[in-house]
Amino acid sequence: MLRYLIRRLVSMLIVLWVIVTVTFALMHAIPGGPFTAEKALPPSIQKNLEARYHLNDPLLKQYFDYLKNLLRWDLGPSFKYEGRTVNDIINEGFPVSAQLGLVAVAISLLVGIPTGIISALCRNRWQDNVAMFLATIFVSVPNFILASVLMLVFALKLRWFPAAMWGEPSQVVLPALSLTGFPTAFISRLTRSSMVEVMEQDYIRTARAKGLSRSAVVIKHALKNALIPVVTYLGPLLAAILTGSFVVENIFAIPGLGRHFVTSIYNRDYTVILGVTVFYSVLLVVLNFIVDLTYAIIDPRIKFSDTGKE
Amino acid sequence: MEARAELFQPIEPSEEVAYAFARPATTYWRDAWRRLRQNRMAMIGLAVIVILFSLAIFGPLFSPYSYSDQDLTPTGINQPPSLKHWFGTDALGRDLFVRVLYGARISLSIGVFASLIILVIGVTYGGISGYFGGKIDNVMMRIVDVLYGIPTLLIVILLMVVFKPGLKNIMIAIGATYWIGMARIVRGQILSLKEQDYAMAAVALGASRRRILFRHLIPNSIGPIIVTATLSIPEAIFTEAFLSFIGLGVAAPMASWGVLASEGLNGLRSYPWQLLFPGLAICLAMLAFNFFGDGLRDALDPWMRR
Amino acid sequence: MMLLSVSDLHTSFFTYAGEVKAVDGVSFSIEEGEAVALVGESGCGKSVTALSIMGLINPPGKILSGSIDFGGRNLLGLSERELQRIRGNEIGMIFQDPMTSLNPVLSIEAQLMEGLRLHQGLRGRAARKRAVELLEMVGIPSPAQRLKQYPHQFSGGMRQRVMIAMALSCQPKLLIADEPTTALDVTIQAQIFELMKDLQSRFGMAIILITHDLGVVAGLARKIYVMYAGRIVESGPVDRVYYKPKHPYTWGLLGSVPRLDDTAKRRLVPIKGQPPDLLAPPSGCAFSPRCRYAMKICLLERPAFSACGDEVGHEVACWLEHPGAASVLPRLADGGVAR
Repeated sequence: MLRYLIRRLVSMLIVLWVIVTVTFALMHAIPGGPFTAEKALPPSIQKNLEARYHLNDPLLKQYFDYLKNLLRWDLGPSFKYEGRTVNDIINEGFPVSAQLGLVAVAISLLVGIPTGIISALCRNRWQDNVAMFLATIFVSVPNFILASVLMLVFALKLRWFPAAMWGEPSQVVLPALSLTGFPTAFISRLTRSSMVEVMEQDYIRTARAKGLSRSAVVIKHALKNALIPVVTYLGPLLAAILTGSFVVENIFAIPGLGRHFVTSIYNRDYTVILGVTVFYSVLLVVLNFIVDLTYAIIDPRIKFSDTGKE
Repeated sequence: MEARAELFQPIEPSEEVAYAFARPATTYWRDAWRRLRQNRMAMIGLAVIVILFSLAIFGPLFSPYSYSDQDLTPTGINQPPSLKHWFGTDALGRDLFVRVLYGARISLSIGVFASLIILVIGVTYGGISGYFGGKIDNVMMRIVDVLYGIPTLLIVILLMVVFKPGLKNIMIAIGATYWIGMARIVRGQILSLKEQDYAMAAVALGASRRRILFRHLIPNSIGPIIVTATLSIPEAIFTEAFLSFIGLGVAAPMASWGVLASEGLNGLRSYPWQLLFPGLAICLAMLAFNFFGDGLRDALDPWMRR
Repeated sequence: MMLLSVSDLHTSFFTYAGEVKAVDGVSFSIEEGEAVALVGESGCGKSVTALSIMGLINPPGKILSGSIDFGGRNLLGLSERELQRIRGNEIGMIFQDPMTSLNPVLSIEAQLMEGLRLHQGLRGRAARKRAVELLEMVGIPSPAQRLKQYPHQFSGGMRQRVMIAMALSCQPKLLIADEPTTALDVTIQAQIFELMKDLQSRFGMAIILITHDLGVVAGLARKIYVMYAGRIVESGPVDRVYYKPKHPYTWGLLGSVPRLDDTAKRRLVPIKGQPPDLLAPPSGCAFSPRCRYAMKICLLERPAFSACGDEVGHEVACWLEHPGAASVLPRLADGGVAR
């Protein structure tokens, strides 16, 4: 298991380095890029930038300064808003996004997994057909469309929920539902196909030959095996919810980091774009690593293996 | 029936009789096509795809409006759907139906071309990696593992911020980031095919490497390649719509479905149709491709055991 | 004493292509403590027969008719619950591929103790003790340590031993072994069979050995049933069937097995043709399309079982045994295995 984890850790560090370098290259090194173009900026910000970024220094020195600052977790000042740093914006917006995101993740797992299991066990019966039909539909509805429709129907027309802002529990419902549409559907499909595959395995037949009841076979033998692929999907799930937050927060006017990110894109606030991208990347890569760790713990073939082969 | 003596005459068992009772062979493709045809949802998906493409190509020819004709009079702007304007009009009095049709052209072509780029890059990369195996494969797959960990949507966003929004750039950006899934699948296919007995048999018979690659490995990998390419299209359409929604999509006056939906959001409270119709178009296209792609995958799956 | 008696069993699979008649009228019986073998090529229905006995046929398969008498009860009439009490308890079963037949994410301990807890009510220390005894019994070294390990940490032969331990944990009266050594090395094969023989004599257990390998049968089984296309074509004591086989298919099987002690250069004689498509089994004798000695009646009507001359217990389903064929026999003899 140790070798597996070390390999994953090294992989994670390399990915982080690649991301950081790529974002640097895109921002600083491309002709016509934000830091190289002559843009009309307010003189105070221009002065800040030059002081901060040493834009006249050789590229390589800029790169190392950039890396140094990253390690200190100093993401620089905003391009557009005087007196605010990127770190300020992140600190302000991220907690809100995190709350929304966690609710979305919880719903995805708590609804998606049981649905998938039931579908698999009632294969080709009406429960399965209905569930999978709905799942395919929700996998195909983009989250911003879902958000708009939910807002239209439940907030504007029926007035069951508020249409915007943040602070009260009722304001979580519609945004969270918009965010989980796709992930829930995907997880239920994934769980179903994984479960179907597991139920056809030889060891399930062995378990039945021992005289176990059908439910005992499912719970004790099938579930753990079936959920392993679902665990590996957790990484992409978190990424989907994170990127989904950009549009959902925008639509529902939620003061989260996603909304700030989109605003900074509209404004071409390059430092914020750069900094938030790096932040998100770090977040996702670290979360992915934690998922890998979990996977290594629950699958005995990884846990008790010297080769660390997956 | 009594056993009469003449029934106990021997017959000449011939080869034909020996094999006569075995089932006639069907080819893999015919079998797959049969299974696909039986999948109702997949066929509906295919029909919708054909309709969407036809509308996109020929639809605007039949409309009395162009996508940029404005009508800024009070009776022109923000009209609900009517016989005159099937989808209503937008904030500038433009006919929404024809704009959605033009949007189809843009969104669908982005979907198709981005998918083609993904296909080319992915098949090449995966093919080389899988075919040569060994160290080359090792290195190439390590690179892919690293790239896989990078959140792709973020990179696409970043690319669009730096390289300025535009039709060509979107296709390239999507194609250049989403090829990884295809590469992995192609490589996996080729690796497993190489192991299979008939490939070894071909080698034993002295077939050249090129012959093996083109006559055996690639034709048998086409199934998963087609499925993956088909399923990349709704992903590309979604990504483009997403980008448009945050302002990084195609530039005006070109309007993809994503741009239309984003414009429609402003008037959601009073003129919901402005969002609903483009939104519906996006969902319909994605649904159709997803159902069809799923059906393809089920049909082409090697059918074991039975 | 008769332990298990299968009568006219019919099991089919209803696939999208049609009904596959996997078991098409099979009858056999086994006494207490007896070892019998069910042999035939892949796809002849032997595994399906075994699964039918255990009641483990899943849709689209269905047991259509027949009866399976076990200890006075017809297994086909029992509810799922009652069958669960018999499985793993009175009838144990081991399967072909030990690599995939054990659950990879559960420890050996958990999998062994399951049956003990379910059928014998053993828990905790008592169960663990028994589990260690079982592992010892099947010859696994350091059983106490290995109990905590996982299947992937065992070799193929050891995994099969674990399977045997699991199947025997509640001392069943009957063990069904479905190709237990097909996936293993020849040397390991021998060990497993020794183990099975030893356990059989120790516990007085009956064994149904399912295999396509004629070589292993003789060491363990006393009665043999030869299956083809879902039907039994010949049955009898092993030495009788081996030395004086009566059915052309059996001749083919025995003739196509290479022999190490064969000094003369003989060609391997494979049986021409392929097994029939069970979607549309031939009318008449299932083997007739491939049979060198086929007569017209073979294509028309299924042969019934008839006793072979004066030999006790040796039966064959072949029209060649019928008195009407006597006049034809001289013309058929052409240097095959001597009758």
